[in-house]
Amino acid sequence: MPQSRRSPQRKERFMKERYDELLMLGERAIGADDFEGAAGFFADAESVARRMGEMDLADRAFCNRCSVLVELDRGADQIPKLKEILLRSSDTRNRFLAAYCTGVAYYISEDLERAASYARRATRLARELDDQRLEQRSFNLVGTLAARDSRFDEAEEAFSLCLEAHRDVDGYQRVMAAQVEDNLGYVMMCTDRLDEGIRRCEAARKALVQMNADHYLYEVLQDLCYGYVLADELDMAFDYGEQALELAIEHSDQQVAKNCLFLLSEIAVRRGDTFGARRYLHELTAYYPEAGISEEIIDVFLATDLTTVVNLRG
Amino acid sequence: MAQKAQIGTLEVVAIGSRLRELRKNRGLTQAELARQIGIQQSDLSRMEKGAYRVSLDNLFKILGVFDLDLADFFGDQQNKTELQKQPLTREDMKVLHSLRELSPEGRAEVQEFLEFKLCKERQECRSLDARHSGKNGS
Repeated sequence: MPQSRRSPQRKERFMKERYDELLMLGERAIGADDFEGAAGFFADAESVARRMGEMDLADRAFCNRCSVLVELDRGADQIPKLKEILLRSSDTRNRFLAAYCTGVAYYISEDLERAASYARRATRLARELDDQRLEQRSFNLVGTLAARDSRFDEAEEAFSLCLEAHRDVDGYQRVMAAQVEDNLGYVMMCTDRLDEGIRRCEAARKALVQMNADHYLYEVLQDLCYGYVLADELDMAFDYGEQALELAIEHSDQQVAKNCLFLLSEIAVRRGDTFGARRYLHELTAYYPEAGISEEIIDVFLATDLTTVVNLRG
Repeated sequence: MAQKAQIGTLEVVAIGSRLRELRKNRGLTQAELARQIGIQQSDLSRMEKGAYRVSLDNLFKILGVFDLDLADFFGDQQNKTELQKQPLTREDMKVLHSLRELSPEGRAEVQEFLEFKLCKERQECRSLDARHSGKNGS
């Protein structure tokens, strides 16, 4: 039967089913590391919801799209519309999503004060909803901000709470769970719980490899490299560091690439491979043209162990 | 494991103290330096107290502000300067003359060997420092 001849109720049901299907496809695309594809599915879902005249559903799809756009570093452009949803929506769940995405977008834009403020707002909204899972999800952002700020105990508590919310999840939520587990592992490494930290990061790596989520994998590999450097297991550290560096460059993540070069240079120093260390450090200093490539800078990296001074999440 | 973390904490504390010393030598307030680096004053304050680990980016920014190299920042330069102040001995000159007589390839080999030796000695120093810090910290 042609769509135009369907009854309004059937058409509405059909459109709602299409909307749900598009959201599911979007989530699946995220799980498959296809962020552009996911953003497309969520945009389609939003337009279906608009055609249905369902503002709340349109807002939900928009917020989902934003959660993907922030990953693609294009979230900052959406902040005004997210704030608009936060102000006008009567749907608390959508307001939570808007606050959460705004916080993440500010975090990625390096505006940490505003990021913290929206993270707190998201937590309050989750409490208003009496939804423990959402509240715990907001803790991922709270923890990320704390880790960046070297408040590792606070970060550990936040990530632990967040991970509880992700127990027994499936689909793209498993990718998120693995990310949180990796975050928890990293902060444990920074708070004198190296074995447990490595175990957590290894579990996150296995989960992400299983889901082919390369986009998230390189930060986990970087953290494992860091953990194995601290444990002085240099072969493991080197393998993970090289893999992380390659993936970070492929995904244009400069921060992780710089951290990896720093860690690989430390591994080379500990192995007595000064030339290898210099090569990595030359690559690292090339990221800082304003500092100039100074042999003295390189000498100090060779002579000083900075692994417990530098914050990889900083 | 516990010892490693403790050593780390001591390093962060020591670097924080050096940073405060350098800032005061330059007559900068915390607010002024924080603004120049592009971080919050509270973060700089925690950095100086050793309660804040720096990102690589901030580390390079700090160096940019002070217009000095990392050796100054980590206090390693002092030893180097002391060494540089000493005049060349007759033995040093002999080594230099011998080096001049070598082919470019030979010089490169010596350079390689020197770097290897330096690296080994620095590593040994680092291990000694770490052990020393560990003992002091426990």
